[in-house]
Amino acid sequence: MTSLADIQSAMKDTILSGHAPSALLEEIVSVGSISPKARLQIHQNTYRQSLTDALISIFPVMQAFVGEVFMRGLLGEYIKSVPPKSSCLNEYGDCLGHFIDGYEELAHLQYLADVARLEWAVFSVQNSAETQAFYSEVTAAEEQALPEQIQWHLNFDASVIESKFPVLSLWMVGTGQLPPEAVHIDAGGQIAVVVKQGGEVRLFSLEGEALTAYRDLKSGADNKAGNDEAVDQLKAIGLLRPVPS
Amino acid sequence: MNALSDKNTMGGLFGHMAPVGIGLKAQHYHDVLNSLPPLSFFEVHAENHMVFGGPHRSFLEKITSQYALSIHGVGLSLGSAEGIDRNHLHRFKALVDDYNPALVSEHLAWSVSDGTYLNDLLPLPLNEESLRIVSDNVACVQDAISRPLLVENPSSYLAFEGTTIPEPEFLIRLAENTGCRLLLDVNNVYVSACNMSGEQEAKSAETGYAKALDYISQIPADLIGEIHLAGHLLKDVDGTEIRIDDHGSHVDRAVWSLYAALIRQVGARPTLIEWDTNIPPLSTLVSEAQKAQTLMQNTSERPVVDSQAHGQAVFQ
Repeated sequence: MTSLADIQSAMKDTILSGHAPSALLEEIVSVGSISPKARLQIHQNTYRQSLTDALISIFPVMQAFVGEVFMRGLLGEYIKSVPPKSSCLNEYGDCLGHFIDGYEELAHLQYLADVARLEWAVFSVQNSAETQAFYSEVTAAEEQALPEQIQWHLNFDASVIESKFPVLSLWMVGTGQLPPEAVHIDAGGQIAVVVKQGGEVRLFSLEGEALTAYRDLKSGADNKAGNDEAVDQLKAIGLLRPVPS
Repeated sequence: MNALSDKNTMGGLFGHMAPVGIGLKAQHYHDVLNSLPPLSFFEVHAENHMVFGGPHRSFLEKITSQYALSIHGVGLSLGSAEGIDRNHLHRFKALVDDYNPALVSEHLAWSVSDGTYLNDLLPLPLNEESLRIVSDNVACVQDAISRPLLVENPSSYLAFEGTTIPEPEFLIRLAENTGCRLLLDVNNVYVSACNMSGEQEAKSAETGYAKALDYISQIPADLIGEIHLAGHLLKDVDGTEIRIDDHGSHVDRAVWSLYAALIRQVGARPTLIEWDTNIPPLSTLVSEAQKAQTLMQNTSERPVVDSQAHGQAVFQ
């Protein structure tokens, strides 16, 4: 008798590949009015369809750029290459940007990889814990009164997408806030910050001294060494989080 | 106020009235809170709520302050030969601890193999090896969450030559081995009975109905902790009609009839309307749930305490 482990391994291979079932499965799946191949195809379809639908709901901005038909084809390839490692569908899609980097059919639209990364960041940050990550009048007053009692740390629930394309402007095109003709793809890169403030996801552009301060902090430099005004900017957008010492 | 005084206990759903609920969908969050429909409970898929924040968590907290909750797992993979994923079980337990639901359930199915999640409820041969594996896995989950699990019968599209135990017997023995109870999905019973028939039989819903009726007659009343009802899709596969459990339409007439037979047999049980694709307005789901409630109140031969006992507002 074939072991359950072997049956499950064979079914997994058949479902992931989308190909005809192995000789083992042909042998052990009961033959009735419908062939084992047709019966297994029901599960192959469910797998592909349910994951595609889940990803479509996470990446509507990406879809706005490429259209639904292309998007479904792209996601079909993604699902084949990167099967889920978790049963939580809200954790599936994190590698789409990386996948698009190597997707030949989108080689002429490289910026879409960063749009996908930004969209995943927005989705993930939305589902992150509610934190008091932003700089308020209260924390400003507390800091002024008792500066030694507050330390500032990078907010690891926030996401920073460093792109060589104007990814925030592209986001605004994808969400209908800007007409496509308003954005020039060669206009230079943008660094997008995605943070949650008061339950709402907000996007900011990071540049100049604030960007330098962020990079210093990320590399482990003492935040007190940075430009005060730049550090204040990071506090204001929630990229630094107050932690009582 | 829709809250029951003991809404988060099994006793809160059993014994007081004809308790009906619906699957909670994100599209209905606002409508639920604005209209507080006359339902006893909502059910959510555990894996959709394993997040630390965001709208799903926020709405679920508000809604569970008004209603009892059922947590329905779709990813524990009780049938996996490789055992239960401890990391996933840890998250499942955390969710159960956070919300203290009235009901907790999972499927007689598998979805994980070698660390890959197939996002489907896949069938397994029903034999002694599978019974041992599923029993171990159910016991492992119950140990973690410190309460009995309701195990749901699957909808089947294929069967294995290696099956030696009929599904009702498998479920009953699983309950004997582990102390779990059952979530009887009447639509799944019907879908499987039709799909697993021979060529001629598959074309006959009548035969599927008779097989389904025989199936439910074998399940002891005291094992049934919850009932699911849902719609299914008819699909032509190689010239044969296959029923796909897509939860995308009204409950089929044959399934309502089986439900009535089941209620006559076992009495009132918490009953849930599942509707996960082609999602209609909230009122459509509530209307299906009320149909189940009326049927439960009119059909059950066992006394069902009048809903008014829990306040007029519950059934306004």
